[in-house]
Amino acid sequence: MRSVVAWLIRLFPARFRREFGADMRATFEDRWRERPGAVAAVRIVLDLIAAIMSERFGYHPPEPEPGRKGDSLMAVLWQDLRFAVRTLGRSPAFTLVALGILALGIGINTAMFSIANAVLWQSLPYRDAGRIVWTGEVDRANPDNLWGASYLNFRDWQRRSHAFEQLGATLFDNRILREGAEPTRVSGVSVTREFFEILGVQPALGRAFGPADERTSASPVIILSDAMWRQRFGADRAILGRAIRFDDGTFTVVGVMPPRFAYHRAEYFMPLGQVIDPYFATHRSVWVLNVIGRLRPGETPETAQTEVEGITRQIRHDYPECNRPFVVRVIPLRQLTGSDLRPALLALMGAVGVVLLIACANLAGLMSVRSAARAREMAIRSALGAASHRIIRQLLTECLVLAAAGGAAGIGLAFWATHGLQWLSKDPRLLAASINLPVLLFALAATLGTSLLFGVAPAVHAVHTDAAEALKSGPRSGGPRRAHARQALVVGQVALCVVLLAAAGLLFRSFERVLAVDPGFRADHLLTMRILLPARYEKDDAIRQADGRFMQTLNSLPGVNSATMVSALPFSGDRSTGDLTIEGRVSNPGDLGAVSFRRTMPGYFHVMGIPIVRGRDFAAADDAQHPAVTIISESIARRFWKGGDPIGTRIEIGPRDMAGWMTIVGVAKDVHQIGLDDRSSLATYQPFAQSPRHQMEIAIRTSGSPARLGAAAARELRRIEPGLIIDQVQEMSEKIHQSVAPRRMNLVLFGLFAGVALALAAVGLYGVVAFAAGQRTREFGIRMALGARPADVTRLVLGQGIALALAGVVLGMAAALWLTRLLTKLLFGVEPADPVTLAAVALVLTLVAVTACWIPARRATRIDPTEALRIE
Amino acid sequence: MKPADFHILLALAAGPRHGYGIMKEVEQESGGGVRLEIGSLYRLLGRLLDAGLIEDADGDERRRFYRITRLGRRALKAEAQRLAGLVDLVRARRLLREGDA
Repeated sequence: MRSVVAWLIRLFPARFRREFGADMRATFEDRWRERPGAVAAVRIVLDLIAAIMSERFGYHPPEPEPGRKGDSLMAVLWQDLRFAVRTLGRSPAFTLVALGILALGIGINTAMFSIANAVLWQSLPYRDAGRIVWTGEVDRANPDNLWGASYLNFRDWQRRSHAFEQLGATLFDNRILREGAEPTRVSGVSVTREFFEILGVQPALGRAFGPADERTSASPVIILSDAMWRQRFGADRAILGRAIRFDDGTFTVVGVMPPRFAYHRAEYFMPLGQVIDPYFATHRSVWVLNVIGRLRPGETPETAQTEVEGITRQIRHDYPECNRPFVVRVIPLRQLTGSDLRPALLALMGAVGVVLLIACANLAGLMSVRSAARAREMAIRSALGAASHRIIRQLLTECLVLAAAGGAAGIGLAFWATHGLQWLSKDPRLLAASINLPVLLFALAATLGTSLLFGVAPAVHAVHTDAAEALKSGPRSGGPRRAHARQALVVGQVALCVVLLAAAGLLFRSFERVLAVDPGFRADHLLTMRILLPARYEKDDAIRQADGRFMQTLNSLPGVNSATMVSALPFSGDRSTGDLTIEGRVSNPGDLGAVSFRRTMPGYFHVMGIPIVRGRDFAAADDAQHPAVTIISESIARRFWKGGDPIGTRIEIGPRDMAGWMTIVGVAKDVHQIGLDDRSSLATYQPFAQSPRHQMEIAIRTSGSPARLGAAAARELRRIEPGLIIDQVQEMSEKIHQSVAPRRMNLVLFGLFAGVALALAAVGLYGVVAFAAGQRTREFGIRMALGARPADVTRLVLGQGIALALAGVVLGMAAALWLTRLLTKLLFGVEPADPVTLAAVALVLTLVAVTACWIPARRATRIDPTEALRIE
Repeated sequence: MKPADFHILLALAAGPRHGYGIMKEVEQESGGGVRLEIGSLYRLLGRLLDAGLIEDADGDERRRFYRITRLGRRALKAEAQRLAGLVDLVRARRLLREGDA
């Protein structure tokens, strides 16, 4: 506060400041020491602002000139402004409450907008980003499922289409960097040379890739991201031409990207033509590439899509193996990057919008009560000759001053809240959010809209008040019309609050349902980690031996009950699938749909606690020398065998020219592989011994707390193979916890907003009931003098409040039934019109309403009849 | 003369005071009807100093003290007489009763 005052004092004209500055500070110290407080603070600040305005812009009433009517516009404006600040300073408690409500409403709206704008609307940080599109095939039945493109199809599109200036492809890439003390896993992206021109960036240092770099025989080259260059190579400008060692070879640095350039957090870029798997480069039925393009001016995503569709139809005709139930889509890149967050962000924008509406209704109620109390002042002023438009303008100016201050405080709050949201969500895309020009414009619009919404009605009312009537009828009046308006405002607040509470309730029920889902395995006492063997393990036998030794060591570690390995654990984010083929059934590739596949070490089902419901578990004998076997999930058995026995049938998974027949030996219970809320459990398992790989995930069932075992287990493994890369050491329960993080975030935010709404609605209801009860003091006095018991009076006051609340609840329920459908994408296991949730919401609101009305009702019973009758 | 000026002069009529002293005295004398915060207080003090109605008195090392000038006293007295005359007039017309307001 001291610094605020010191800062304000600096705004006085220099002459004034020199004369009084020091003394003002001293006087403030004296005053603040004796009587501090929030109310005093508001009073002091507003008074200072008014004084500064007077001193600095000194409005001196102009000398009356002959032939001139009224004051100049500017003079009037200043007078209004100064007067408004003074008036607000005179009722600091009201000003403080109003400012708080405004700051809260505008603050959370601005914060939410800054996030939604950054994730959904703000153009991507690439040159002329509106013309950059993603092109690929998507599932016909579920268009959110993007399959991408095969390399050969991409090359055909590139050759035959005309809608694009450039068409390029990217493929995510993971490598082990062998620079520095310890080998580290780094992730980047391999790209065709068009990539840089499509995004409109060139390396800050060195060059982009050219046609020569794309040949498989070309010498390996790499472009570093700015972050990798700084963090791992100390921003060494002599890096160009230097060879960097990776696990599988060295790459020469030819460029470094500029600092602000980011593409999916890639740490490096390599020419796709050099590093693409030969199988990917020669087969059409592998959808692995992301194709991006820059549209020619005048082309739209739709025209481009029609063209690529035509080309693809021809390809499908020529190469039937790439026929799938897919359709071609050309989607603006902007639309794609935030698409998974879109439903939640839009719902949250709606929620904060509703909070702001409630805040407006609340403020309008406050203003109305206040202007009722000021009716006499207004009446006297208009009796003394103030023109009605001056009075309206005066009231509106007060609203604007309030809204401006509230908006400024709201922007401050938004700054802080945006950081809070970023911290809470941990999603890197949110980091792009900042309080920039569009966000400030949004805050300004919100502020203006708010002040109009809560300010116009009371101003209009003030003029329609009959001066003589107001003067006659005592200080606390408002007339029946205004009372109705206040009641309508409260009903509206309660109704809006019901909508928010219902939404929060539905999200809560969904969250509960998700957590109650049985993952299909025992998640407790389970430690997990990911390992990657160095590339020098080339032969399958070597990999098998190393992994066997790892298992032996882990199993003999104290505190370990049993350990196992799998190519991808549940909840590890692996979504790769292959086409299913069943022996003896005539089908085209892809007709039966895709299933996931996992390679498991012996004991996997036992360690994870996944029951084998039919047939047998894998045995040690299921190795490379014996026929290939597989275990399928119950869902697959149910879907394709319909109660029949799948055991003994042979299936293939993946492209036909790659896969081999495997015999089904068992059926395992379904497991949630992606998340607790995933729908498909079409999973198959193969013995690790029949197809080893470098990267595996380890699951350790522990007897005690898994957390303490992680470091010891990693140490033991590294003792066997120092070049082993170990990461993602985590408890399974933590993995599951993280998988529901977005849901938790939505729930927390909705809960928060609903809580704010509930508090505002309760205050609004309390205010109206208390005001109405206060006005009826005399009536209650007479009633009690005539023998009414306190309970009768309580009933009168409570009855009025509860009638309002119930009207709001009924209205809100209707609105909620209509609006919660918009939440469908965020719900799980619960209908938007869930009766339990709606009933609970109605109950909570009624209870809060009773509490809010109880206080004024009690107060009304304590009226002393003689006191009450004497008041006027 | 504005009521706030009048109250400040009245507060200083009893003797020199510093800023916060004036603030408290005015609030008390007016029964809370006139509340000055530092912004408005110093604007008024500036005006009264310029008009020669008050002047600096001996202060302590931290604060300035103000005292009323002879001109100030005369102005105060004149204003008080004017007000008293007005009150008498109002009373004579029976708009106010003894002990009212």
